[in-house]
Amino acid sequence: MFAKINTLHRRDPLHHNFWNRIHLDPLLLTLLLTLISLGLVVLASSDAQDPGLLHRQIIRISLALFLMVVIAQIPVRYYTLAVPWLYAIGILLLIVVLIIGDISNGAQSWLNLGIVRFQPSEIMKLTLPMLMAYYFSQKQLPCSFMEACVGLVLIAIPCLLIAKQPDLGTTTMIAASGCFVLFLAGLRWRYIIGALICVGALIPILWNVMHDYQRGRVLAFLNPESDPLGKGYQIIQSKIAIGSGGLFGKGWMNGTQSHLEFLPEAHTDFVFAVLGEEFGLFGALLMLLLYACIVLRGLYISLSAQDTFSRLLAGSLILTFCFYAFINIGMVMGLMPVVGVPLPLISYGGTSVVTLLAGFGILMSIQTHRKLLAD
Amino acid sequence: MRNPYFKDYQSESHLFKGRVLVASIVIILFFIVLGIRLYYLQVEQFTQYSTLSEQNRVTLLAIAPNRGLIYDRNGVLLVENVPAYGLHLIPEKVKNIGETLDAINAIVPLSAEDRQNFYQQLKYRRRFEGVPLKVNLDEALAAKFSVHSYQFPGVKIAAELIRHYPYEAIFSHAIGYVGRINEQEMTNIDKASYSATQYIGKTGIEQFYEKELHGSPGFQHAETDVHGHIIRILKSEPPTHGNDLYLTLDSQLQLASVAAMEGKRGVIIAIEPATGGVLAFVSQPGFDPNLFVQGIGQDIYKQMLDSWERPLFNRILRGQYPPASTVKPMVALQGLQLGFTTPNYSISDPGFYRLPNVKRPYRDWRKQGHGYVNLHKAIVQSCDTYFYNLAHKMGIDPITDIYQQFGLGSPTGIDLIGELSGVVPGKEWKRANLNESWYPGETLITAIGQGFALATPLQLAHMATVLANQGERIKPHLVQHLQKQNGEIIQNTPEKLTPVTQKNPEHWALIQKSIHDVIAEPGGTAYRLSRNTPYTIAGKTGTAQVFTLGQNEEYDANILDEHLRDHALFIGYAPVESPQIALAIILENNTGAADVAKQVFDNYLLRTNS
Repeated sequence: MFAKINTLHRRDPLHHNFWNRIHLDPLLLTLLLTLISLGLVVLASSDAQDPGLLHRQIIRISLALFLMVVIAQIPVRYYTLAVPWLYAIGILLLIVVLIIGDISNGAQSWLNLGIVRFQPSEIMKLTLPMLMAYYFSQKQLPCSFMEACVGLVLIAIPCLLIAKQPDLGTTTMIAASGCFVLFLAGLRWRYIIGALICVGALIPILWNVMHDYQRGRVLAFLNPESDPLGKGYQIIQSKIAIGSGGLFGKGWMNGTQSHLEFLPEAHTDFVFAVLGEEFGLFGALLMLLLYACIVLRGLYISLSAQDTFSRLLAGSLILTFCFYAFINIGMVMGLMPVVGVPLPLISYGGTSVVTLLAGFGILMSIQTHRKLLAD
Repeated sequence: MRNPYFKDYQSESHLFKGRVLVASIVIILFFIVLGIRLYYLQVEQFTQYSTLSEQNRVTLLAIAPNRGLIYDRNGVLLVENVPAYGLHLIPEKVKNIGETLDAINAIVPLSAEDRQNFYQQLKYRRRFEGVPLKVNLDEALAAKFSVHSYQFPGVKIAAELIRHYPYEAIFSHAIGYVGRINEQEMTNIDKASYSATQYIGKTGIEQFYEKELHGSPGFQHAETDVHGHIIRILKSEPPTHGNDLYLTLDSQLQLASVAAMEGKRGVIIAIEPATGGVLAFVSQPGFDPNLFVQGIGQDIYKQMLDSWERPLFNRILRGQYPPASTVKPMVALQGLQLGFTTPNYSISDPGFYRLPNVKRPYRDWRKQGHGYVNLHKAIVQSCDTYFYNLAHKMGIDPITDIYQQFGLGSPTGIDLIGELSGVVPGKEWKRANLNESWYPGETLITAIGQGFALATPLQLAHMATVLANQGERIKPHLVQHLQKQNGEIIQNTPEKLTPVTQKNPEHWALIQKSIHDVIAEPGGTAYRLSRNTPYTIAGKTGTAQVFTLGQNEEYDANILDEHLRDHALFIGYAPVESPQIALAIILENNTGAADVAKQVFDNYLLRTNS
């Protein structure tokens, strides 16, 4: 309503709109804040077991939101200048982390710089789609076979390095973000279908390369009941948590599966199960709806973007975000194998929130700097 | 490099829109799939998952009921539950059970038996339930372990109630004992009702009245987390404790009886004739039932089993002795009833009896004989010759019949398990068991309670009550009443058995006078008992041959090995006019059963009458 009045009274809405001046997209911002708030409500339930958890997460999210606002102020065309360098630095850091990185959760993925401790793979989550978008924005689309192959090489380098840590979840995510650019860049359907067939053929080979814990996850996914106390335990408990929530849930803070610790990783990867248990079908559907709205808004932004780089970047970022949510929720509900992917913007942990909100900062920048194209 | 602004902008934009459209459709489809999955889990399968969630959350913890106590007829506590420290291990919380046991062994010594018991019980437990590792730790060991307990998560000292028999061996064969539930018992009991119970009655009253004594467990519905920690108790149902038993036994009489048996082997069993309630139940030697509660050591157990004195052998239920002369009143009664003899009929006894056409003489216990003997004298002096004569006239069938009428040859039905039948021989019995026909000579020795005839002490005591009741038979029993926890008392009503068919009161009076005169008349086999006895006693002595002598050999206790010597028997009741106590006494390889009887009568009658 307010936006409508503004358009009536301003001659150049794009330029003089308050939200455009601060380079934020009000609809996307509202949706994000609603989702984050819902996430914090769910996390508060885990605060009982780990006091201070909520507090720490609020600080992280605040910092991440601040970073998002800052990034939104930067016109994306500036990135085009820096992106090859960013990519090179990212690759370098990935090599460094393999040599001197800290090990956590079985993967050597952390780089300790004394004051900051971060995962170089997170940088790659933004840099790879950026570089891909930049590369294809220089080409006439739909991309040719050779161009697609170059794109695949650009994807493969960081992915192999991250897979070596080994971090299957992040590898999948980064590969997906690159592939989304390829898809949006108009990779021909015959190649897409051909690639899918190749992937199908590669599965047996992949199986042999996989680590034992990864195989275990796949096996547990295929038949969780076969090993209820071992590999299938997480999936079974997660399904019990969600299923026992029913229509309206057990009530906030009353989830027995999470509070009595039957549900492992209740505040990180399996946080969606806590939501399902405590808020029931309605709570879970509300969250799905919020995700859907954010994704659709993101796709709208990518459609309204005025140059190819912005479009490809925006499209890839929002599709990756959506992919995150699908993988995690699918995993928690027993539709997909357990991959270590957090629920975007909800799961406890700082790194992914920072990267994701930085991504949304880029989306907002794309949306609010459109007028620059007309210059 | 191509300038992007000169690209085919229109077609690129068109292509991009197409791709986003495809992506949107796929995304929306995925969201629908997730939504359907949510609906499936949370609505379709809600009941199932809800149940699983409750199962996760709520653990049923069984609370053992307190086993019922056992009192004597006067309310004297015979069996109690005493608090004890036990060492329990919760397998879920212990990583390596074997290593943990070894480590505990350094602090609290664990025998091979403790370990064996532990591993056996490990098979039959519930999740997060402690398995007893060692029971009845003394305070010093309990304290010592407490100091080290931090090293053993999942191993804890628990205070529990264990069975204690303060009278030790005194009541051992009557009350029996409880022990750890073994594998075989585990398959027979209701696992739910024994979920918190570790002991079960193994013998005696403890075994027979297991159901009454045990009670039923209570349950705590506990909310537990994944580690088995109890968060809170949601609901609690208290256990129903076992019923207390009040026995018919008289602890003072029992103590006096055991004292009278000091240094002897054999039995004393005394029954109240009017009710069938057992007053004293002594099978000597006995054993300390407390040894079995905590699991008896192999060595001691083997020693007990192998001992020739057989302390674990319940002589009252399972000892089968020749009833010897104690059967004579019954044979006399049957003779009168069927008209084979009269009170006045008498014979001349030369000291032996000879069957027609048989060379072999059947000897009386008194070599020189009893002179002229009528029925009264035959009983008073226990004249064998008279009964040989009577038996020969009657034949075996009436003898078999009267023995059976008095309850010999079949279990009395007392409230204990394991009672044997004894043997009442007869033509059919011999055909069935030895596949031989009956010889007339066997009739003679059956009539004096020797030969094939065997009876348990319990049957003999029962026979004494039938004599005291003049034919009325009441099933012997040990439990007078049981008391529920709410105070309600359930009486154990005496059960009447088929009475002896002999109805003529004159015959009963004659028999009663005769067995009274066994004690009261000079020349009676137990005349010495009449000295200093302010009440009247009726009784019958008996001497059971353990070892068959050659035809012309003399019995001389001094030259025979102890275990080959005769058993001394006595059955009787007192006072004669209104019998309050009937008993049977057997002294194995010994003499003086009647004297022991006097001590028992004195204790019971002089005490209660004073």
